[in-house]
Order: sequence, then C-alpha cells, then structure tokens
Amino acid sequence: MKEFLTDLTIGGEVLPMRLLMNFKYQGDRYAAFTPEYSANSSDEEEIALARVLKNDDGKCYEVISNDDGDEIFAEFERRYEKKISGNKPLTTLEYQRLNWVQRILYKCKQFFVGIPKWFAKKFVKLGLKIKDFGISVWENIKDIGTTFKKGSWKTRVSYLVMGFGNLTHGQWLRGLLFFLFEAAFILYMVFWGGAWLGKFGSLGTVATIEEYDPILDVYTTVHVDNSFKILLYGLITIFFIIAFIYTWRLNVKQCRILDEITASGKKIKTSKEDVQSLADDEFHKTLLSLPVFGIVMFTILPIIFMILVGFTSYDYEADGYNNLFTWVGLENFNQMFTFGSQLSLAFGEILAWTLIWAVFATFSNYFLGMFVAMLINKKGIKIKKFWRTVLVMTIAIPQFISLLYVSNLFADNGIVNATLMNWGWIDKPISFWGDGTLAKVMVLVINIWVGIPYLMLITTGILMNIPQDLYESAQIDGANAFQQFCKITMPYMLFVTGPYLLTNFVSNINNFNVIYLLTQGGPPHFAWGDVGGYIAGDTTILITWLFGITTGSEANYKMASVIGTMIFIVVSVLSLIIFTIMPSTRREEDFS
Amino acid sequence: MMNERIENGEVFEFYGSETKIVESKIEMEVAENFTPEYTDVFVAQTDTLSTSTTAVANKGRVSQKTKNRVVNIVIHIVLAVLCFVWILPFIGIVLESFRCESTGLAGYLIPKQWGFDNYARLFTFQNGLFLKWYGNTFLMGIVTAVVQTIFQLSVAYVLSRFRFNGRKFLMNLILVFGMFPGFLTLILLYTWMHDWNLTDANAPYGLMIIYVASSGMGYYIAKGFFDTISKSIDEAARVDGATRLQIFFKLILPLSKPIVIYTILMGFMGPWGDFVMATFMANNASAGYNVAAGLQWLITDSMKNDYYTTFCAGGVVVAVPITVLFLLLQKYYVAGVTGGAVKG
Amino acid sequence: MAEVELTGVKKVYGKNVVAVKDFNLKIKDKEFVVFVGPSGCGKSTTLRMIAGLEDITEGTIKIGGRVVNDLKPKDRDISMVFQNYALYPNYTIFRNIAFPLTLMRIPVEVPVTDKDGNVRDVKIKNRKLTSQEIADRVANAAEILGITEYLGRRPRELSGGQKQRVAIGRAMVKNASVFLLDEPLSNLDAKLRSQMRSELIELRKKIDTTFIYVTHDQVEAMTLADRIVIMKDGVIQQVGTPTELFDMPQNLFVAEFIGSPKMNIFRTRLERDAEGYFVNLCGVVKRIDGARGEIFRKKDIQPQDIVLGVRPEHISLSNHENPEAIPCVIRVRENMGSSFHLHVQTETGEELIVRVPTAPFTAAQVEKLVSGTRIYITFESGVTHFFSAETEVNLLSDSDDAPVSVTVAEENSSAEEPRKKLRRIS
Repeated sequence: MKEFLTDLTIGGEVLPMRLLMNFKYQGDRYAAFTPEYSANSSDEEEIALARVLKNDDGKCYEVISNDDGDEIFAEFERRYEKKISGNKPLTTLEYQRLNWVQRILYKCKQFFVGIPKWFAKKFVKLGLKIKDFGISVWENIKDIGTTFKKGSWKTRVSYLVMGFGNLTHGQWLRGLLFFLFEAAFILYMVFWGGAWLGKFGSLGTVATIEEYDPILDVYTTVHVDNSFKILLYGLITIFFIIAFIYTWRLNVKQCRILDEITASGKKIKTSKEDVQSLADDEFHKTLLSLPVFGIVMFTILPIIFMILVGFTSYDYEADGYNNLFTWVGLENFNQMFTFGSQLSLAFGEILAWTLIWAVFATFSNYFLGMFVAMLINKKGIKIKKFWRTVLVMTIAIPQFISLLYVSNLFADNGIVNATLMNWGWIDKPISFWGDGTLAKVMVLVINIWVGIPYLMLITTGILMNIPQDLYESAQIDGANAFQQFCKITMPYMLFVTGPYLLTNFVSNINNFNVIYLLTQGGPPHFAWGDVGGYIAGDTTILITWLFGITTGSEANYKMASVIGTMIFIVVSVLSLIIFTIMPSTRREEDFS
Repeated sequence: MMNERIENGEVFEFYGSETKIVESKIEMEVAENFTPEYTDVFVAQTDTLSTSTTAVANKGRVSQKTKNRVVNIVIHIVLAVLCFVWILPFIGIVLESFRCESTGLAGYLIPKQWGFDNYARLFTFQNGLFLKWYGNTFLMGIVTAVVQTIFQLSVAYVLSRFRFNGRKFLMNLILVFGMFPGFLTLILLYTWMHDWNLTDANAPYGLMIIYVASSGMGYYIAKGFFDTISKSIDEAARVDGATRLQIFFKLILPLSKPIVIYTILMGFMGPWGDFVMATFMANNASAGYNVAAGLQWLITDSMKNDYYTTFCAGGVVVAVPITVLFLLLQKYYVAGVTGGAVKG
Repeated sequence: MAEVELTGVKKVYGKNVVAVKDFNLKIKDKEFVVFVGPSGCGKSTTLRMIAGLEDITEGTIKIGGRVVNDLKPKDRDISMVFQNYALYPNYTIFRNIAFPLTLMRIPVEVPVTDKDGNVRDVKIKNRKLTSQEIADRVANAAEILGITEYLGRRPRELSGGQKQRVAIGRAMVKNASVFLLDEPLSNLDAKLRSQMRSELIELRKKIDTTFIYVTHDQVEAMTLADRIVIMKDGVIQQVGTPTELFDMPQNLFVAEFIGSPKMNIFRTRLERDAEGYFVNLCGVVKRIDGARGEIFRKKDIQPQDIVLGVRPEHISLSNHENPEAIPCVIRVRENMGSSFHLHVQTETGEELIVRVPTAPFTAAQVEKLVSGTRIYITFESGVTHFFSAETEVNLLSDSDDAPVSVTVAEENSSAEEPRKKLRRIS
C-alpha cells in the first residue's frame, strides 16, 4: 500500500512534495520524505536519481536530486511565471474567499493557462534530451579518437580484433566473448546479413520464376524473394549492427580502462572474479539477460516489424511469397484518414465507441464495485466472509466460460428470451445481440457483472485502510454518511487508486475478451461496408477490429498495422495527459 | 495508522470476521519507526469533543437503532440478490451440464432428465480431444507459472534494488512497448513459430514460448512489493558478507512469499483463460487448442446445436479445479491485486 | 584494532551535487568518534563510504593502513549497526546474529605433507566456521547484551530496545576492527535512548575496538564520544573532545549546535578605546577584560561587527545596582525541575533564554518569577564567545588551521532562490 507523505512545511510555507522533487539540492538541505516514499512511490521515476541521504529524527529524510533538467526547469518556471505574471496564482486564503463558481472558474483558468506551460516544459525537456544525446555521441567519438591516439598497441589492435586488449591483459573470458561476437557478426554479415540488408530497400524484386526442368519437360514455379522475410531479417540485421556497434564501443572503452589500470599499477580483475561478480555486483546482468532478451525478441522486434508493415502493401494478396509487397510510404494512413471514405468513417465511429466503452467500463465498475464493497464492509452486516467469497469465486472462473455462457443466455433462443415468453411478457424474442444499441448496452451491463467482484476485492482492502479517525472526526463535525463518502472516502480512493484507474482504462481500450466472447463485435454494421476485409459491427472496438482484419480470409495486415499504431497513439496520448494531470489532484497531506 | 501497518506487504486476512488486520508472517520494522506525529493531535481533538457527541447521540438513540436495523436488513436483502445474480450463470452452467434430453440451447434451466451423458460425451469427443486440450493447457500453465515467475521476480528485484546505467531506459522501454496491443505481434510470431513447427497442432509449445518470453514486462507488482522491503536489510547483509545472489535467495524471496505465490498463481491461470492467442496460434488445428479455444469452438454456430451442453460440462471441468486452487490461495491473490492497484 | 584514515574524501552525487567535501580525519585505534551535525551535513554519507555502501568520488579511505576504496563492504573488516536495526525478519534472533558468521571464512594453516608424511610446507586455507564455533560466539554476544532468552524468537516479537541489541550483537560477533553505528538510538523513545546510551558506554569497555558513531543528537555526541566531528554541508566544522567543543567552539555554527538550551546570540559591535575592548550589549556597555581582553590585545583584533554568544547557564540574575545589569521582562518560564528556563526580552527587543538553578529561590520568589516580571540579568565574564559577523569564526580561537569554511561549497552557490525558499528542516 502507499506510503503517504506529508507536504513539507518550512517556515510556514507549505511545499508540496512534487515541488521538492523539482528543485535541486543547493548545498542547503530540503525535502523530507520517508525512505519508503522515495522507494515505493509510483512517482519514483520522477526522482529516479534522487537519493535518500539520511534522517534526522526518524521521519525527516533528505533527498537530493541530480536530475539534470530540474534546475533548468526551476529556472524556466521562474522566468515563465514572470512573463505570464497576469496569471499569478492565488494564495490559499484568497482562494478560500471565493465562492464555488469562482473557484471552478479559477481552477479552469489555471488549467488552461497551464497547458502551454506544460507543453513548453515538455518541449524544453525534449530539447535537453536531444542535446544530451548529441553531446554524448560527440563525446563518445572524441573518446574513441583519443583512446586510439594515447592507447597502447594492444588497444590499437583491439580496434580491429575485438577482445585483443582483454586477452593480452589476462582477461581471457571477456576477450574470448568479444572475439567470438565479432567473428559471429562478420560471418553473419558476409553470408546472410548483407544480402538481407541489400534487399531491405525494395523488399524483393522477383517473387517467382518459372524454371524449366529438362528431364520431366515441365516448368515449375520457384520462389525467389520473400518480402516478409526480407523485412524481418533486414530488421534483425539492423538490430545486430546496432548491437555490434555498441559492443565494439564497449570493447574500446574496456581497453582504455585496462590501459589506465596498468598505468596505475593496480590489479586487473581476473576472469574468475568476473564470473564471481555475476553473482554479486553484476548480479543484475545475470538476472536480466534472459528476460530482456525475451522482451527484445518477442515484443520489441515484432512491434517494430508490425509498425513497419503499416508502411508496406502487405495483405492477403501481396503476401510477400506469391506476390511481393513493397514500401508504400504513408498511403495506408492516407487511406485510413481520407475524409469521407468508408474506412475513415468506420475508424472514427469505432474509435468513439472504443473510448465510450472504456470510460463507461472503467467508471461503472469502479463506483459500483466500491459501492458493493462498502455495503459488505458496513458495520452490522453478517456473514461478510460469505458475501465476499461468493463474489470472489466468480473471478476465479475463466472468463471465456462465463462470458460464452452469458452470451448464450441472452441468445434469441436462450433462456432469458424463452422465460420471458413463457411468462407472456413478450411475444417474440428480444434480439439482444442483433440490435446495435441494445448490444452496446448489454455489453456494458455484462461488463459490470464481470468487473464488480474484482473491484470489490481491490477497494475493500483500501477502504479498510482509510484511517478511522478521519470518519470519527467527520462525525463529530456533523457530517452525514453521504458527506463522509464525498469528503473522505472518494478523495482518498481516487488518490490511492488513481494510477490503477488509468491502467484499467487502458486495458479496457484493449479489452478483447468481453466484447469478442459476447458479440464477436456484432451485430454487423453494413453502412461501413467491408472495412479492411472485415465486416465490423456496432460493438466492435479497435482491438476486435484488429483481430477481425488479421484473422479473416482476406487478412489485411497493412491496415491492421495502421490500426495497431493508432491504438498505441491513442493510449499513449491519453496516458500522458492523465498522468500529467493526476499529480495535481493528489493532495496527500489530507490523508496522511 | 492502519495504512501504515498494512503497508509493507502484509497479507491481511481478507475474510476475517471484521475489518481486522492479522499480523502477517512478514515483519517490517520500518513501519513502527514512522509513527506519524499527527496521531496525537487527532486523539486529543477527539477526546475533547467526544463528551459533547455522546450527549447528542443519546437523544435520538432509540430511533437511530431501529433505523440502523432496518437499513441493515435492506442491505442483507440487496446482497443476497446480488450474490444470486452473480452466481446464477454458474449454477446454470452446472445444471445444463447435467441435461440429457437435448444437446442444444434450451429455454429453461432445470434439466428434465439428469445424467452424466454430457461428461461422457465431453471426454470421448473426437477420441478424447478434450483431454488433449486439458493436457495442453495444464502443461502451458505449469511451464508459464515456473518461467514467468523466474522472469518477473528477476526483473522486479533488479529494478527495485540495482541502480545501473540504462535502468530508467529499460523501464521506459517496457512502459512504451506495453502500450502497443500485444495481439499485433502475433502476425509475426505466428510466421516465426510456424518456421519452427511450433504452431497449429504444436501450438501449445509455441504459445508457451510466447507467454513466457515477454513476461518480464509484468514486473510492476513484484517490484512494488520488493520496494516495501527496507533497503537497509540489503545493506546489512552486504556488510555481513552476503553476495547479491545470497541476498536475493536467502532474504528477499522468503520475505516476499505472498508475491511469489501470487506470481505463480497468475502464471498458472493465464493459459486457462487465454482465448485470443490460443485461437490464433492453433489456426484451426483443433489438436493444438487450449481449453478456451476448444470450448469456444464447441459453441460456434455450426457446432452449437450438438455440443452446447457438452460445452457446459467442459466449463465445469475447467472451472472447478481452478476455482478451488484460487480460493485456497486467495489471500495471496488479494495481496497482489491490491498492491498492484495501489501501485498502479 | 585499527586506525581509520580519511584523506581528501569527497562525495558527489550525479554530476554536481556535493554531499561531502574534502573530508580529512585520522581516527586513532580504539577511539570512539562521533560524527554529529544537522540533517544533510554528510555525516551518514561519510559513514557509508567507510562501510563501502557508497562509492567514494575522490580521496582515499584507509582502514588499518590498507586502502579500502575498491573493497566490498565484507572485505573491509567492519561491522555496522543500522538506524532501523535492519534485522532479517524471516530469521530467528539466533540466525540473525549468526548470519555474518555463516558467511565468514577464517584462514587456517594446513600442513602440506609429501609422500613420506613429512611436513613440507604450510598453506593458508579458508574454512567455514563450525556450528559449534558459531553457537559459542552467538551465545557470548547474547550474554553480554542480555538477550539470551530471546534467541529463539523472531525480530517482530521484540521491542525496539531489544531489536537494537540484536543489531549490535550481529555486528559484534564478527570481531571486526571498526564498529560503525548509524544513528542507532534515534528510533527509540527518550527514556530507552538514555538507557541504551549508558549501555553503549558499558559495552564499549567490553568491545575493545574503534567506534564510529553517527548521530544528529548533540547529547549523544557529548556523552559518548572521545572526539566529536561536527559537520555542516559536507564540511567538517570542528574536531575535538566534547569539552573543547563546548568551551571553545571554532565558529558560530558549532557554538549554537552544542549545548542545550541553545546559546544566546546577539549582533553587536566590538569597540576599542584606550582602556581596552568593550561591547554595547542591550544598551549596557560591557568591558572585556581579563584573559579574553588579553587575547584580543595580543591578536590585535580590530573593532568590527561581531556576533556575541552566551550560553543560558552563563547568565545570572542580578539587580539594578549592578551597572552592567540588563533589565528585561520574563515572557515564559519553563520549569525543568532542577532549573528554570526563563525566556526573557530585553528593552532593546532582544530575546534570550536564561537558565537559573531552582535551588536558591524560596517559594514566594518562585511565585513572582513568572511571565511579565521585570528582572535584571548579567553575563558572567570569561565565558562569552565572540564571533566575527563576517566569517562567523571565533575571534578567540588561536588555531589557524581550523576548517572553518562555513561557506557553502562553490558548486552550489549559483542558485540563490531555491535555497531561500527551501531552508533547513530541523
């Protein structure tokens, strides 16, 4: 659970934690979070390089940040504040004197006025990053030069024969690894890599040739180029080259270090010590090697590959094997966004429904789940354990079973319709899945059914953590149950589960299971026609559209790639916005 | 105070009688070191005011009590209804799995003729194809549970405890690439696995690799947990002469039992519920299905009339062991899920 | 058992955040040295550099004559007690204390024999401790610390004081030559703290080794230390015995840091006339004669703006007949049992604390000694401190080598504004 932190009061001036992170240690100490905070917070990355130094009284800890940009931001903020000083923020007292309309207006104004500043800040940060990157590249090149100039002959040989320096200094393990890597790289490039890379620009020129078999006197079809493979192995080759450059640079750096150590007369690490340190100081390399390799090969490489597909003409016709595909630039994106085209129409509407779906699904589950949790938590409710267990059990049952069953429950000849007809309430079956609007409502309602137990589980734990004295104090102040909920429970919950809400929202955008298992994206929406080789339906969200496009008989991979990229852009932009807004809503000190 | 105690990764007994927090097996000393000062203020405040409130409360006590009782009765009824709604579909599946008089959709819940016909049909379906699916899924579950746990805990431990060049880069990389719909990569991965003959009928093996390979990306929850373990424990162990490896295995892992079990549980349950990838990788070769893909196949439009009740039987056979396992380990699940939600 | 020597030690975080700057100190064998200073002064960082938990940016650290800069903590022959005890929650107390021993290797001489069984040579081999040896050592430590009966328990079953003892026990069993303690008592409540303090003094007699102790509490520093190292902003302000620090603070910072209640300070001007030096103190002229005046004369101190410091216990009550008496009004009276702390305000608006023993007052007098009463005070001569207003250095100090650079490290002097905004937390 979250460690709450109080904003720091220094000389009567309240400094929110966020602010502290934005300033730099200037020889005078400031900041006071508990070590847990800096260690646990999801904001940890903001102060990634910050360090807890020491404590004074068991509570106050000092943090110094050495994030390079911070000082510049602080300076920037000061200057910027002066420029738009017409927008001087109100003091707490001034703000409290406003009535509620003025307060809302003020908040809105602050928000919108803050936007350009936010962008400017991000822009500065980006600029700084680029500058840093440029500087570091230049420094590296310079360093390579000076190392060669000043280095020993062993070092110079290492420029050509990697690992030579390590080998001659007795580090046979490192040297051997470097050497083998170089050998493997050269062999690969000569025999395969070069060829793949050569065709990467065109993605192949000849798909098939007819070859004459003189013995049988027939022509057989022989496949020559395969665009898919060219794209894939070309990409792998590029990855390999980058890895080689990095390793080569490492090799040079190590040689320089070895030279320096030899000059200073210190001891050089032996191979045995190298191996030993893999269980100690370098243990992270041991632990990370496989997982990171897996991530690179099975996530990063495929994703980059698929993004590139969006710039080619890859689909079921141009499958790269019988018919080659090639680079088409932005044509696919053009097609998707040509105003008025069916595709763009479908995209717009599906995107809209996706967002509506995600917002509804997230918040309905959240509030109703919390409501159920509060019902069960209420004092005087018996057999709490039973209520919870019943609900939790439904989490355990694989979704595909329950969803498929529920989908059939509401089928035209399913139990619900049959029962209603038996009772004489309706004459003919209600087409739950056949009517677009009804299907959407059903999907949302059933999703609530799916989600409540889960949210109940999460919120129960957090609800129990709300300090009871807050409620006691509120009761004494005369707050009723509803006011307590609004003033204590909600702000606390929103604060604690803020990041969760965001992740949940994102996962709802990609919530394939509920939609697909219930409706398969139907009922078909014929007005859009055949979009990307697939008849999309009213409940289709982007991710099920993607699934339909890629699994259909007329698989349209290039469009799938475009949609995938769009999902990424939507998700990342939303996350970025929400994440930036969120900290401002976090007023931790209220709950600590 | 309460949040302070639950913090630090305690497994709090979720289904205890009241909202009581049971001391966990994990002891975090730090918690008590940071008793916040404001508590005193609060206590003082409450004390001085409590007398006046009792007086106010006494006035309307009788009516308040009855009112409370009525509210509680209403809530009990609401909860009963809710539970009924939640449990109904599952009762339905069980009931329909025992229906012998017809095999398709029926407009009623209670079978007219009871029997185990559907289970018999399920296990004999296409020479025990269901058992094959079950075996596939089980195998995937075990392998995923083991390897995924190793990967996730490794990444989580490293990101929690080590500070090295590229750490932030790695975390950002995982964050950014995590935003892509993972499904998209299947197009390439299918082709890839196909080259190694790990698709279609062999799909479970290919799937295993895919489930496991990128599982390091889901390190968040475990890292959040590791972060709550005081870093001075690591430092003390280093001064005492332990290597990082020893610290990980002798100290951190034993301290993280809830999250280790949570990770194993999640790894095992993943393949049982996965539908998209399993369908895609099996590519209509029914021998390569997992239970989800297989059972879904049973109620596609062309099969539904003959196999709907069989699907229900299959659902029961799949759901029962998983549910039992889940209920046994639920306190760890709760620990993981709540921790994850709070950490985001 | 070992000297610790720090030469030019510097710690920089990231690119330009200086935590410790040019730290030079030689700690003698078996000495008890306390690093004290406000939060963020670099004392813990220094300790952690000695322990090997932080890299050293510049300079060298020697333990027992051996440079340890590149050694891992376990190879430095040190043991350490952490502020939050850092006990291993999953182990029993016995295993907690035994943990370093199970990882330890001790060198043994193994005779190398030839075919005939003659001893040719002696080889040094490392071996693990036997469980017997481990148990003995743990039992011994537990005995000393009085925690034998808890050995089977787990850390969560112990109170704070007991945990701290276990942590000390764990550090003891290694028989390391340097014993590092990082604010070991700050998590205990006041009563327990003073008890543990005296136990530490006892313990020190039993563990005959070099102690380096970090604290922010000047009382701990004064009571425990052979020598105190007082730090601020990563710079040593003064090194000396508790008495030296109390009697002759090198600069204003040290003067204010040591002693409770805090030293009273006044901004005034040091003047000189034919008779000698004098200051104008709250409207009263006070002549500086005796030894202090002598020193001023000898050093030929020029008249200048100064900060004058008087400890509360060096102010006494007087009456209007005394020409040097300063009239003032009591604002608050704090009864400390054996003494009163009187917060008084002079006619010139200066606020100061006077500490007077309770003993000489009669009940009737005590009744009158309340807020609003007008009293006269005088400063005892010979115990006032004079600091240059400009450099804050003690004017009486005769040592020139004092590391009195109170100025902030120049790397940090650029941005004034945030510093103004974010002053020290105490």
